[in-house]
Amino acid sequence: MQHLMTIDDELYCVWLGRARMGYALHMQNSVWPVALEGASTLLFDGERHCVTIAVDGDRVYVHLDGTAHELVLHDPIAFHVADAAGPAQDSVRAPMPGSVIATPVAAGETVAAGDTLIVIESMKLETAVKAPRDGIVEAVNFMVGQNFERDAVLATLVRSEE
Amino acid sequence: MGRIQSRIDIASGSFCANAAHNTALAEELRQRQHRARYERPQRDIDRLARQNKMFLRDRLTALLDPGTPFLELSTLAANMAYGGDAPSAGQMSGIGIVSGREVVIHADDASVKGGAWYPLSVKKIVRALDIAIENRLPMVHLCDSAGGFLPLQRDLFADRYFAGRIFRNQSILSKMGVPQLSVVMGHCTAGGAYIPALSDYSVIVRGTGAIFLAGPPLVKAATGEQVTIEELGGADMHTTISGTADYPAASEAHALALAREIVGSWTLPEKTMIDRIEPEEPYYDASDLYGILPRDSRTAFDMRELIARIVDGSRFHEYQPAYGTSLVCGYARIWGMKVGILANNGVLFNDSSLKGAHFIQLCDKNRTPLLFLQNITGFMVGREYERRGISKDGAKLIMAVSGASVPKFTINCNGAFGAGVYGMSGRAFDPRFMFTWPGAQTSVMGAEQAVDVLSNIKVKQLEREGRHLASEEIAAIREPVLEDYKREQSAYYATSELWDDGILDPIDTRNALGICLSAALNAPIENPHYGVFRL
Repeated sequence: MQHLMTIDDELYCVWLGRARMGYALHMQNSVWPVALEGASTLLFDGERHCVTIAVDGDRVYVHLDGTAHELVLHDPIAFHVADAAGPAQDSVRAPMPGSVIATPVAAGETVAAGDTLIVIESMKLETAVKAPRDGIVEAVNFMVGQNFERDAVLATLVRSEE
Repeated sequence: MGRIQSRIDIASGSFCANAAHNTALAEELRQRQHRARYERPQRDIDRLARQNKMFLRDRLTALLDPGTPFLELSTLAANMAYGGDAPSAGQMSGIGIVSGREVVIHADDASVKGGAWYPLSVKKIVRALDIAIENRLPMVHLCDSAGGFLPLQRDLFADRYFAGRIFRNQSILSKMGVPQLSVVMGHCTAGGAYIPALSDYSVIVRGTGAIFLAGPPLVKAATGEQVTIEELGGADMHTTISGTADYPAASEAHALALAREIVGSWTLPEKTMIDRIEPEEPYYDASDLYGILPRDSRTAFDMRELIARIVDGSRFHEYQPAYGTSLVCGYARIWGMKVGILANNGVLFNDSSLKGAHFIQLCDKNRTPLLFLQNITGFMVGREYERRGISKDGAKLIMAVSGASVPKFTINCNGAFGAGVYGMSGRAFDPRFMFTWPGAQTSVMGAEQAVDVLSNIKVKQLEREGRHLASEEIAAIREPVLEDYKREQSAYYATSELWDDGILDPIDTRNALGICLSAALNAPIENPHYGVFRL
């Protein structure tokens, strides 16, 4: 799998492989020889370019031929999972048997990932059960004081907008 | 490796209230540590000056390489024992750098009862030597002790892990080929005489240092012989006549300079190879830990938030993210060194126990040290779970924890109760190092539950005698038990009794673990092998 990178907000799939002289840049179906000489000379396909590189956390800024470019390398797992939250996360189940001590949201409310849907108590622990993703609360199935078994569906979510 | 996405709202009221609570706990820890290290009665300070001796902390500064980290262990040992008379149990121990070598340092504190060994002093010295043995670390002893604290001799002398263990451990360390140096800066009397005698190298300070099996008063009582300290066991006698000590020194400063040169002559050990890369600071700020840890330890929180503030780049590869979710398992790096982390997100169920046992074996095969982050009220109880074999699955986790050959490190972050402590590599399971956070607790069960059990037994007993108790009488039984229980499950009690290697300010955890991991890699890692897993 190639590296996923956005350059000035446009997505590229690239790979930097080993080559006899420096590196080989694989992009689409082509391969170009590349190398960095010192900190400021980029060798690309036999030509020399002057570059200035600045790193700020996950972002790299490259100044090349009078223009600055912003590069962001993406973690492939996070990238591919981002929009893939499926129906498995529509129902929120009890991690252990217990009883409900608070219901901060009601059906119809919009929640963001990480918002507390229901607070339960079990095995001496008070646990806030959180929304696994953004959505709208379809139902909260238990009231304060009610008991439930493990894996009981505590609340359900539906997707917003669609 | 992907970065943990923190979901903490650092502007929320709950975060700020937690932060205030936990910052106060950290400040209390700092003050208590400062008192244990520096505050002494004036007469003890005056006596040291009269004897021309340096204060323990100044000796330590002179011994260590300037600008290098020093991890002090069990600073608050004995803080709840002996009526507070023995700060740090009258001993200092820790891991530091001397002439470029990682060493364990152990020092008697002559400003506490003349450096006398209390029962917990002995426990602390034995532990320091155990650390040296387990991690193959050379050791420097700074000796200045009046000997065993006689009124409590029955609790420090005869048993397996009492004073004799110090000398047994010294001999074993030497047998393993790990060097030891003693610097005799005060009296080494009776058993204490064996610390320099069993060290590979020893330096003795002229005028203040002395080594003998019995001091002049005891010699006079036993045989009638009248003899001075210098004649009986002074620096010149031992370095020119008996050969018990190796190098005479004109002053403490001279002795410590000699000590640094001797340690510098020891061959640098080769470290065990593990997966190790350039370190990276955590993406999230460690000080957030104060706002994440709850004010009430019974409130659940996501341990991934803690992990994100401890590990390199806040990066974490989670293993089995959808199975047995009450135990979070996964790989991360600390100061560039790869570790396998097990952290509790709730009670241990059958599935989480199996997941933990499996993950430990993966790490063991993979030569990846293990980090246990305890926040555990116990294993799940009830008919359904017994029928599914919760004891059997817990046994698998305990078998894996006990059998793992890679180094283990344990932090009690919030609470550790009941058999959960066993499954999460408590002190009895020989983690190389074990630390507690200031608000964390540990006991066989929670205080309220234990008091319920105890008071129910008492009430039933009285009922059999035909007596019925009013609710205030029951409360009168409960209250003192509850108070004792809460006191004895606190972090300060645990560290007082040396159930850990010290209390850590949460924000220091990453650095402490870096030193511990580096220290642990001085010992080779055995091939994986286990006992029988009940399947």
